Amino acid sequence: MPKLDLTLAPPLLDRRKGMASTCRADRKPFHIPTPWAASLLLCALFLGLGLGEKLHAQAKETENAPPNGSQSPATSLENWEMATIFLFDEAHKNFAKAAGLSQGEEARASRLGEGVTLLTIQPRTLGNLARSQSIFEELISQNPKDATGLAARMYLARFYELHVSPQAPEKAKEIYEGLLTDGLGDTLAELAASRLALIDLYSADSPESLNDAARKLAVHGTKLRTSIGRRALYSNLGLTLNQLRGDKTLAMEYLIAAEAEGLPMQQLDAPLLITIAALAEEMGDMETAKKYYSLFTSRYKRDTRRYSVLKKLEKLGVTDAGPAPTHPAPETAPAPQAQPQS
Amino acid sequence: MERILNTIGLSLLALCFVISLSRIAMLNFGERTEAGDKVIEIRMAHWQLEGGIRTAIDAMAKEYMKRHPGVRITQIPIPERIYRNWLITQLVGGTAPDIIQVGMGSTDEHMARFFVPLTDIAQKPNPYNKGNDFENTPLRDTFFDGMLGGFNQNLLEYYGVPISGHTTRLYVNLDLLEEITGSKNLPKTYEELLALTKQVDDFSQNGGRQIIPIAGSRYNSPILMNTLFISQTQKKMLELGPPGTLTENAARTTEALFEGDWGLDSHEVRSGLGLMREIAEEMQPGFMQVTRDDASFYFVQGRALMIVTGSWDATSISQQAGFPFAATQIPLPSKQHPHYGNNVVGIFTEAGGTAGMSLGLTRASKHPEVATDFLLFLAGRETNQLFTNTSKWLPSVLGVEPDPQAKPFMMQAEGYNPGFPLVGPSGRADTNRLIANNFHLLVGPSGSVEQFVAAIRPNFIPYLLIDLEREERVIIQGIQRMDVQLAALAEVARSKPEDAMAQAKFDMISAATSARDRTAYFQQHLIRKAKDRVQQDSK
Repeated sequence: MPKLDLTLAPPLLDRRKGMASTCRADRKPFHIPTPWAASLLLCALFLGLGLGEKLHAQAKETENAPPNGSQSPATSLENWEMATIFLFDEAHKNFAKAAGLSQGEEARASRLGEGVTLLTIQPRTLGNLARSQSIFEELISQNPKDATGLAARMYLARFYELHVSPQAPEKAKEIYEGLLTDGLGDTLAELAASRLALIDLYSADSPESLNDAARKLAVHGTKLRTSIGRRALYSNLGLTLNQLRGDKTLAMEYLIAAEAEGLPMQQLDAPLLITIAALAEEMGDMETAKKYYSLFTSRYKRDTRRYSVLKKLEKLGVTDAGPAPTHPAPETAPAPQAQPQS
Repeated sequence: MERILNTIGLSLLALCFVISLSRIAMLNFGERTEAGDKVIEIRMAHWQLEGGIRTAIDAMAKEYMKRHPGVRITQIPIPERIYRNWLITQLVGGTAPDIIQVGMGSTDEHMARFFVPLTDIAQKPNPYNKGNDFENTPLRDTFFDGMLGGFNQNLLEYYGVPISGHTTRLYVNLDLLEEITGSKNLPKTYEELLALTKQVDDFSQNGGRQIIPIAGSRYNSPILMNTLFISQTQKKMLELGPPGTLTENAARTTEALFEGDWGLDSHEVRSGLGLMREIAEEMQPGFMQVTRDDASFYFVQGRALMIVTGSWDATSISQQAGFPFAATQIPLPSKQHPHYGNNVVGIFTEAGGTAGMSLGLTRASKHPEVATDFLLFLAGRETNQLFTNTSKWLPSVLGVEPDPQAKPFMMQAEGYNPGFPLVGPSGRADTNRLIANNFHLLVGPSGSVEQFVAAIRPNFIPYLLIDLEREERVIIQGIQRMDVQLAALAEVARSKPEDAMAQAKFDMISAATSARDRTAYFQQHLIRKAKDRVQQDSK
């Protein structure tokens, strides 16, 4: 059998005198027969092919994977999109990277993203929270009135209100009040009114102070320019007054105002309609009760409360609200649908 | 000798070579269709090992493969016991099947990281409804729950396509019922149910076989006992707090407890506990130590006349039981009941139930377009009809006629909302543990309502306070996460003013965050009240 002379040299260590080795320095050269060598080469080739296939598949998987910013620096928008689906860690890393690479507005936007995502990345540490606070303060000192500055003020307020322990609602309140002067027209900033409402209403120590606080807060509603801001304010005022047993007439006024702005989800809209109707019923305003119970039955065909509401309508003399469906019927699903915004 | 060794070595090498070659050939060429195209495999995992489901999935897969010869559907049934661990391993390891049943062990983060949002397909008509009433209807509107069963409230996206629905029922062995009572009339009210159990006791004592009136277990019994309890708080629920939402609201009920509107001594609670004790006496001794399977055995072996369980067990029971059975809504005390009737408003509604067995598409799928198409196929009206006919489970798609065996399980839309439970949400772990640890005092042979109440009274409010504080932390953590999502959606909406979806999502998250803020503030208000109450009680 022809032999391919692939002499394997004895290992270097074996040549050293006095070194222990399991190999013998004087062993015969080892010859690999040609078919064996050919087979080995072929195996290596096919294994290589298999590896190649696997690497190719991995590359394809990476193409299909969600954006993670590891290939090229992601834009600020891409990073925010990651944060919308709870990929906070990835978004944070990308924001931090982008903040270092960009300048001007883009850098400020990335810094904001970095600060906001720091509020939730795990583990939640005091260090992260402190960094977040300092980023917001830095952005506010640069420009407190542009969109990024307003967002930084809003999140600094949220930091004091909910993220830090112990909570510091007074500091948050001060920032919210400032936002209501500087941030009118900015959808995010206008949410300050609704948050201020909760702080003030829950600080009230008597029914009179509760009602007074509500009246003062309601004034903001006339100034807010976005539907989202007004809706949040009136919902918080009406529902909280009702829960804390404030003035019913006031509560009714705010609840109706909130409903007029339109709530986007059944989970929020359905109880609001029922609360208005039930409150009206209790106040003896049967026309309003009928109106809102009827609105409920027309909007929600298979809500668990439908049958009870139909029975109430029957008692109120409304008989054309339609029977409860005997089979489950389609419902207004909570799917994202375009909502007009002012 | 050397030659022999060489030959053996060569043979082994040749064998390895052939195996490697075939493996690589499989990788490169794969299974081929008659037309020579590569066969695409779609793997689908779920935990529904109940009878009929695997057959139904096979039937649907077979139908799909008939229409799409280049696709092979493989189902991977995973036992419920290990599903959570299996899911995490597969998702993190990147080896997840294309389609996975979601709901058990899949957190929001898992959904966002490892699953593909299906909101786009939910908004468009399902091509597999071509030719029927839903030809131009968005997919989500073709489900009886508006596809709520597949919607993630936190991520504001659809992540699953639900294919079934469920209710709970009282199952009755009809042969045994006739043997004992001489008729096949099912109990319609609690009074009739109790009278029936007495007849069973008489039958057993008068020389008949030993029959357990109701098979109980730690899984089945709470369903029945809790249903009876909440029948007693139904009227009270409507009287509590400010004008409300006509449905059980844990926060409002808890506030009413601290304000003294109800409590462990109120007649509604005593009646509810009395009902629980009364019905527990009709189950076999030691039922709370018995597993779900053991209770099912009692029923399918004809040793128990009745059992309470979900519609998901109907097919398994029908396959194992050698007798006909009927299913009816859990009977509640009628308004005429002299002791319990006054607390009842009426039968419970089942409207508002969501569709189940929700199937999600993983990001690990190598053929997402084919897997999506298969999901759409499963959601088609025709396929859902095949599903209910084969599995005997309730359908999820509107207009699908449930299989005759599934009809008794159809949701009862008419009816009122049930009352409130003694403890509230299952997350109130400490208070629930207090109840569980003393439950034997309520349902045990020598127990009583008095003993049970006396045992839990000292710790009831203090434990509730601990639970409320824990709930508050969870609520705040949720808001902290939502806050970041709100900022992100605000920026996306600002950057894409023409994108209706982006605007709608910001609209929803802003409303949802406001609602959550209200919940957090009210929770802190409740905690203050609980602390006052604890202080007051300790004086």
